[in-house]
Amino acid sequence: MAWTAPMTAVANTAFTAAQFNTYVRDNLLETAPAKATTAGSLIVSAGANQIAERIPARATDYTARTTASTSYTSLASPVSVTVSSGVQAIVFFTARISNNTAGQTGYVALEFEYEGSTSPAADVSSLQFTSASSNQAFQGSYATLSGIGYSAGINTITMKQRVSGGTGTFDNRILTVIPL
Amino acid sequence: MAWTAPMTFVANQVLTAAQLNTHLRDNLNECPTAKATTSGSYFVGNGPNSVVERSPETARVSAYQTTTSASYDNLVGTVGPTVTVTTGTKALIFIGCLTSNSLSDRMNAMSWRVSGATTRASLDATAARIDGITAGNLVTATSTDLMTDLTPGSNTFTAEYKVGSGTGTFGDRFIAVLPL
Repeated sequence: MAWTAPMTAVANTAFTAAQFNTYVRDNLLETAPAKATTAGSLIVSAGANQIAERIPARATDYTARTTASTSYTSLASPVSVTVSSGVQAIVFFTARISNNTAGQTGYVALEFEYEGSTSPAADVSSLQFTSASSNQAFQGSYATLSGIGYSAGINTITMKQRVSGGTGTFDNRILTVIPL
Repeated sequence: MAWTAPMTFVANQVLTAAQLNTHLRDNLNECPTAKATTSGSYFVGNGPNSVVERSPETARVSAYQTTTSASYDNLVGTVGPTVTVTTGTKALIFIGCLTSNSLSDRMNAMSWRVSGATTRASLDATAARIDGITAGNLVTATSTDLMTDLTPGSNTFTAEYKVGSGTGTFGDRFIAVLPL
């Protein structure tokens, strides 16, 4: 069933069962309370005269992990969420970044993988911190809209990490996805 | 009143007042239009076939104030910032500040505690935090988290602060909460 623009009643015209089913029953079944299943979900537009329920998702890893990789990697315990979504999502991520070598930078970025894709793309937006000394660290957040590789359907978003040099330590990693 | 799955009519069936009231009146009263009270609010799922209005809140304290506390506490001066919102089990929290320390290579952190329906202390894992900056240098620190373990009801979110040592200064402090 789908939404049908409500009819305009005319005086002395019979209101039929078929009309009731189309304009009352079927249209009510396209409203938010009909679509809602889960506490804490969001109801968003899914196109012309369509709404859909979306479930925010979160993943965390509070353990300090290290890497000396200069290309993006998932670390020993990937932080990743899989959501059912429209064409976009709002994504927030937080991490604590440090490096054992002064002047080197730690980077945290996102990889978006649409179901069935064979080459997930790493987004260029990143949270980064350059340590002026080995005992410096930064813990903060970054926010973005979903990037390259994201499509309507089932998407997996993964935090990726790398360094410019030295060995980076990443902990308190939190990923929050609000699918739209 | 609550949502009832709209009935299917059959040709020549009489539509009674009770049916109209249940399947049209009461169901329309479960829709967002009927529930909207406040400009800028939004609607979230509240369980099967139920939606509820939620209103975001934000608060800011511009004043630069200090602490020497090694455990999360109020600053010397204005408590917070603080917001109180009605939530389900989830809420999206944003915090941030400008911060510096009187000594070099020290830790400053801003987090938040929850009171009201939920009691939860400030956490390091979700704090806005810096480590090892040069004395007197101001740094922007932010953090974001999707809390998923709140007790539904009226919840108050209050910013708190701590340092590793030295005197931490915090200003332009903000907190924003989007209840789900």
